Amino acid sequence: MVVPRAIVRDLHTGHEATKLMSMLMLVMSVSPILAPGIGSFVIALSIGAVCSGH
Amino acid sequence: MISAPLLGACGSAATEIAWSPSGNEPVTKARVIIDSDYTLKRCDRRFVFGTRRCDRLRPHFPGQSGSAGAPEGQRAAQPGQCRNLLHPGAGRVIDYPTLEARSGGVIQRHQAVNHFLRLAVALGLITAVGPFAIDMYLPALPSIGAQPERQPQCGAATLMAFFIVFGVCSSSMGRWRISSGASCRSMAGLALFTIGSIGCALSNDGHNADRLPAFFRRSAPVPGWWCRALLCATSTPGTKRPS
Repeated sequence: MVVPRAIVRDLHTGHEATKLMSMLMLVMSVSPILAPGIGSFVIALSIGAVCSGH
Repeated sequence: MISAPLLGACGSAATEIAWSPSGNEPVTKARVIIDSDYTLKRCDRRFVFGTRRCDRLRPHFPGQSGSAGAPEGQRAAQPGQCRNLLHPGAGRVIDYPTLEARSGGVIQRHQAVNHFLRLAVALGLITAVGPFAIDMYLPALPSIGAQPERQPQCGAATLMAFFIVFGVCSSSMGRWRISSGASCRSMAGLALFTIGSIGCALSNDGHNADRLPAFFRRSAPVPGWWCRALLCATSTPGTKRPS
């Protein structure tokens, strides 16, 4: 999580660094919202697979 | 079953370690040696993306089309006359106006032109690996605790084990270095993460008909998909590793 920021800071400065950093912040703030939903979807799929398998 | 999150934690921490900066050298300076046939011979730039860019360096000679016809002899490309063939198959030639490169010279400015979007996608994928690895199995915590032969705290213990390994590896092994370059480090970390995901996928602990093994079997390759997407985003055919 921290290291991509370091990469951004090393490779870019100024405006480009700001753009990249904002994209990373977007990813970091959206992914904890989406990930439990996707995980529960996967659980539902796996339960369905187990039930249909038996 | 605790071993599965441990594997994933090791892989995730190794991914973080793999992208840690490796030294104090200035990042805007890269030593580039162009061979006599004007292909890149050596580039010790630290990051994989910079190496990819260095690998596309070809000198531009007026009166010749592209980089196919290099003149005879050891003529060196003059500063400002290098071109970057990002898409040789499409014949697209992109100029680096600020590039200063010559045979055995030093590139002072190495700005990203077309790789910005690729870099953003790749770094976004790397950033998303950690939260997805943590949060995707949070809905399965009650299932982990609901195993009849385990204590209810078992699910929380898996999460704690994940964070312990993650923190210890990130803090203690941050200065781990491999002399073969940062790209090998990053690929090794992502490969370790993928191996951990496969370990999660194959871990059954003798409960085949459980919800939990099915969950891990289905969800654990997801980090592997991220890694694969990252590899596709960062790898281009014909690239060379830094020597």
